[in-house]
Amino acid sequence: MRRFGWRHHRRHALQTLLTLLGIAVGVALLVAMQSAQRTAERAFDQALATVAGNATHTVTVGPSGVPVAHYAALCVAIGTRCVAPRMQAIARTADREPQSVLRVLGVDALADVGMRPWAAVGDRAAEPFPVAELMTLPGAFLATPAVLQRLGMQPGGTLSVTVGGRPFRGHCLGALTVTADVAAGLDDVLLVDIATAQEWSGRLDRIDRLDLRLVGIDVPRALAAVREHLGPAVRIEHVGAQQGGLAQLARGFRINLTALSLLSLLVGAFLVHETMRLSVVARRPQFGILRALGVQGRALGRAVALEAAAIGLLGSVVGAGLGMLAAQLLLAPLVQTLNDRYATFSLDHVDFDPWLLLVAMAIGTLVAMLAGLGPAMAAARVTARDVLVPRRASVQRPAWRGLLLVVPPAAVAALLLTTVGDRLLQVYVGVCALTVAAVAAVPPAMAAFLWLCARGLGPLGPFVRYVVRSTVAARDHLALPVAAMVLAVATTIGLATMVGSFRDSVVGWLGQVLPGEVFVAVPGGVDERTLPILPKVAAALCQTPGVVAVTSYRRTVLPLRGGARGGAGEIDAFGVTPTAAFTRSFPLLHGDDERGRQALTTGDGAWVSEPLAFRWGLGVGDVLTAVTARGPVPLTVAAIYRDYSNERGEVRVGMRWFAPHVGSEITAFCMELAPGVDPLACSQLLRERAAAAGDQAVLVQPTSHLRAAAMAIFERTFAITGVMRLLCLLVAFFGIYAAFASLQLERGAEIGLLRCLGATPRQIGVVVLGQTALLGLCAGLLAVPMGALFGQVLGHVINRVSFGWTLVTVAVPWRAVGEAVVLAVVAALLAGLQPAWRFARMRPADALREA
Amino acid sequence: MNGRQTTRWATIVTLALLGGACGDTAATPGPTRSLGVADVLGGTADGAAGFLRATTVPTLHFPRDHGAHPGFRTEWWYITGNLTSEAGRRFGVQLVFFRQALAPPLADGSTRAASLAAREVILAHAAVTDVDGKRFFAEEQLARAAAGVALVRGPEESSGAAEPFVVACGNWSARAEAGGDGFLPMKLKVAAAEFAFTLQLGAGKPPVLQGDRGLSQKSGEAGNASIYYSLTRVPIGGTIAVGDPPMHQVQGEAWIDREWSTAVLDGAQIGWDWFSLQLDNGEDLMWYRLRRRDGGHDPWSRGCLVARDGTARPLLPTQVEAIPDGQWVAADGRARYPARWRLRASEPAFDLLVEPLLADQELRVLVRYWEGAVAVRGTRGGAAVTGRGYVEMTGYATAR
Repeated sequence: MRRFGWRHHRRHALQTLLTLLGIAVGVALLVAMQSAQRTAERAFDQALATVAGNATHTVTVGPSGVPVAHYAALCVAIGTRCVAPRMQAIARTADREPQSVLRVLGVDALADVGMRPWAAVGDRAAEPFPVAELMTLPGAFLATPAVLQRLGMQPGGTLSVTVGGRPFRGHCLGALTVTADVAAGLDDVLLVDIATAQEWSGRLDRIDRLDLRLVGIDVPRALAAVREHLGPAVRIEHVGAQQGGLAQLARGFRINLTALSLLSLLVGAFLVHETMRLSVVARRPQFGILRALGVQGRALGRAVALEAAAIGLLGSVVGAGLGMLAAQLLLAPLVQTLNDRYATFSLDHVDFDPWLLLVAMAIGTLVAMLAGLGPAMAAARVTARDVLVPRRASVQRPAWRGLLLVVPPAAVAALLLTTVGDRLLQVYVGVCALTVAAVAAVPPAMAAFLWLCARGLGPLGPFVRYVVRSTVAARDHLALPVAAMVLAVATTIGLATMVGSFRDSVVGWLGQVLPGEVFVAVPGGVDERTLPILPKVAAALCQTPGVVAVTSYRRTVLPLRGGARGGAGEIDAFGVTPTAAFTRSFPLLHGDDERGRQALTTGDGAWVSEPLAFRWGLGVGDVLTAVTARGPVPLTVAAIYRDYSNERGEVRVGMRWFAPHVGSEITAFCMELAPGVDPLACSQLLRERAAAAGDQAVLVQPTSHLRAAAMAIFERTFAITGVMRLLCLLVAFFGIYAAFASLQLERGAEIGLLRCLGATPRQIGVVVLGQTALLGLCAGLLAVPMGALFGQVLGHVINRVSFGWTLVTVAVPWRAVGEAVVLAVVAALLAGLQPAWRFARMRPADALREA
Repeated sequence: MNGRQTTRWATIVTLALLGGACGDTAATPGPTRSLGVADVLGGTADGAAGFLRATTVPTLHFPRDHGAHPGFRTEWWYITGNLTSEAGRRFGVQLVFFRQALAPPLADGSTRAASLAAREVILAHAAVTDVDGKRFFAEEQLARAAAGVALVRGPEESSGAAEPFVVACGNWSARAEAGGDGFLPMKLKVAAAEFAFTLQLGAGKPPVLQGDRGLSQKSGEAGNASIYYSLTRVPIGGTIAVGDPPMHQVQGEAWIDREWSTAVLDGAQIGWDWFSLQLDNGEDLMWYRLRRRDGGHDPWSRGCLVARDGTARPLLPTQVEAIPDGQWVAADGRARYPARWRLRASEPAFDLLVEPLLADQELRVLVRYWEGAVAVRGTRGGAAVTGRGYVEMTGYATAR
């Protein structure tokens, strides 16, 4: 029996290979995405864990950090043994090519004894720890041998770096001898004394955070002391709570890849189903004979199911292998995505979890088995009579009855998608229901289409009538591949709709959000505390000839809480001194009135970004609580603005409020130039003036460049949708191919008869191609309304629930729709070529005999 | 007299700072190691460049000289005491603050801008011996002398309004109180994980200048010396908390050692045994015995006998014999110390048996050493005497 199946699949090697590939791609994507994600996550957690050391808690105090005097008071209260200061900054090498970005970790080697033993004085009989130089030599640093090697450094060497645009000189004291685990977490770290970190970051009397190690002491009492000495803005976190941050950061990336992986598994399942169905149809005579010889139907079903499982398993194994290769390729863009936002990782190899490989392979096999279930049952139902007695044409059920199947899932989808709130799972279920409804709608819609074709095309002659009518006759047979094709084309239309609308929205938003010609900021940042522009540099910049108006920003992180959904967290906050143009043009969604627009100027209330308002359930007039160094302060929501840059949400507050509560240092400028002033030339002038004024390198860019860079990131993020479209087309192509390949077997007699009646092979071929083109057109046209619906769901529901933002409009891109329809017809024609060729070449006698 | 203290400090602090800690072996003993450590610390070959050296007999002014001497590299305030509660429960207490300069003060007197920049660190050891409870607790704190996390200040007299002396590391402090000379009376406050004490030191016997009027020569080389004086008997009282009942009202007598130096030690020294004994006839005896790598006795071992009225009489190795007896092995087997001692001299005549009140009074901190309360009995000038005191033994830890 097994040999029997093997022989069949060997004869249809190409088809079987394609099926294998379908499963393999799904499994490969799953493995690749998960492995790359986990590798990055592990590196992230390792870096976090290494830096946090043995700390049990970590303490921050609002945006401005912990005043050193408060830290000292805490030490006097609870001792130095359980508290260690920590600072972090981003340094860029200035004398190395290519430029490296490094994390500067400032610690106190004396306080780190129990916290970060590798950064502390202590029991180091093997090599001395140069604590005296580290503490007394400004700029002294240690790093792991790997980092030193990358920098080409020797102990005793010097390294020029810039931190926040200001130049500093580092002195390499030597290599940190640490375990491999710790070294992995320090792969981009310069370890410096806390005082050097203070000097480099320009925060001379502040500390970013305190690490606590509360072990073997009265924890509640210690925490009470922390609260007492660090003031109302103190935030105490368990160290474990910080981890998993990567999950947030790479969310968009992961959602895309998960969708892609599931889609390709679905494609794989479809291919398995079609292949097995085809093989069952093709082997029906043999199955009939086997039944006649006494083989039980159940045994036949089992054999077919086993074949599906074998294909699934084989595909899964291949997929796992491919996935391991692909993970390596995926790691770079994933790390890039993270580094855009967070850190300075340099990961070069993927960690593979054998369990993950096993689970992915199990999923691949299971999907194949499920897909093979239908054909297996069909095989089990084959009787000896089916083959030995000529079949009578089956009676087709009226197509309109299929409409009844559409109603329940459509109702479910409508209910779920219109009441979704912020539950992503509900969206997924809703989209599934919508898909089911769409698939169920295909047979009746197709029947209607063909009926219309028959009426409309009938007058064109008997040949055309035959093409249409024979398609109608094979309607039941063709419904599934057409449904698959409809789904595939609709997905590409939906994606094109969403991406296109998103792009339009972002382009418009970029124009409104940066009302000026030149943007000035301090390099560094990457999610660390943003360093300020030195006041003398700021003054020089603002007085540059050609600059007529300046919007200044102070970026920081503000602990906020409030909203109907009880939101709380550290939110990116901008203190803004707006220009008239900024106030006028900023894209406000709610609160767009005189009072709302003027809120930043008057300092009376905050502008809240749409994602934050959505997540926390905020409306205009609601009151947030901001935790500042002065304690909790109410902050009224004056307006809600459109934002596509930060899915976590952010707030903008007038500098009049910001300066006394948070601080008045400036971190960025957006400059409006006089008419006729060239932004590029002015940028160069601004750079020179900054360097001359304060020895601080600032990033000066025409806002047009910034917009272009933002669009580049956008395109990179959505490049993956191209792969999705390709997969969809593969489904469409293969569905049609499989359908006609099986039709050939079933309609041998008909073809034979036609040939006997004088039809030429060429005419037969044209009939088949005509049918495939008709089906392609049918699928393409049916996909248009469905694609438009998908586009609306993707644009309005998924965007909102995933990211919290809405698009300006979700318009169907008609050009893309036209392309999709044409593509569907072309794919169908291409898929029909081989079957047409084989139909045409059938010898009438054989065809009649086989039937 | 400086030998013991300099060695002790250099080993404890510098090893703590640079690592190596208790891994001392007979082949790489503390003092030898501290040389290397001092080199690294000082950043120059001899490690002493840029610091003051003790080369001449000092003119000490009190209370000013109770305060810090930042020109020297190392300095400490060393307090040990034997106390008894109202219920008769016996306690030993140790509190020591070390000041160590990581680098000499900058020639131009400039400082760094960062508030946590420091050129000095403060290391503190605190220990309590609960004699009747047969428990011993010890902890240490180590912090940079910056922003008040750790500090040493005063006493200042120049500005008219005297600023009292204070040395502190985290939540442990020794702070002079009003109504005295800016140094004594002094309040000691320690809150550790397993014990706490608040004790007040009063005025007692006047300072005894060790060595040559305070210049304590350590070896034959000029400059290898420290400034060293002791307050051999001062009243101490207050509260100690260990176990149940949590608070004990205690009274007793303490010994304060003060020393500062920059000197580099003799590499031949392996460790030392130091005795500070308060006899019930009113006399106090200090003796330190330097042990040499080759097993011999160091000729720079010194001591003194302080009479009831505070007058001191120096003691030389030719006069005093210190004989170890028995052995106490740390639970982890990494250190073996003499179990008890016999101190003998013919002129002045004494023969004293020195026994620990608790065998295990080993401080297992960054650098491990034994320092504990002892009982004394024997004869002095033919008459029977008893007494209390403290003994310190270093350089006994073995290789792991």
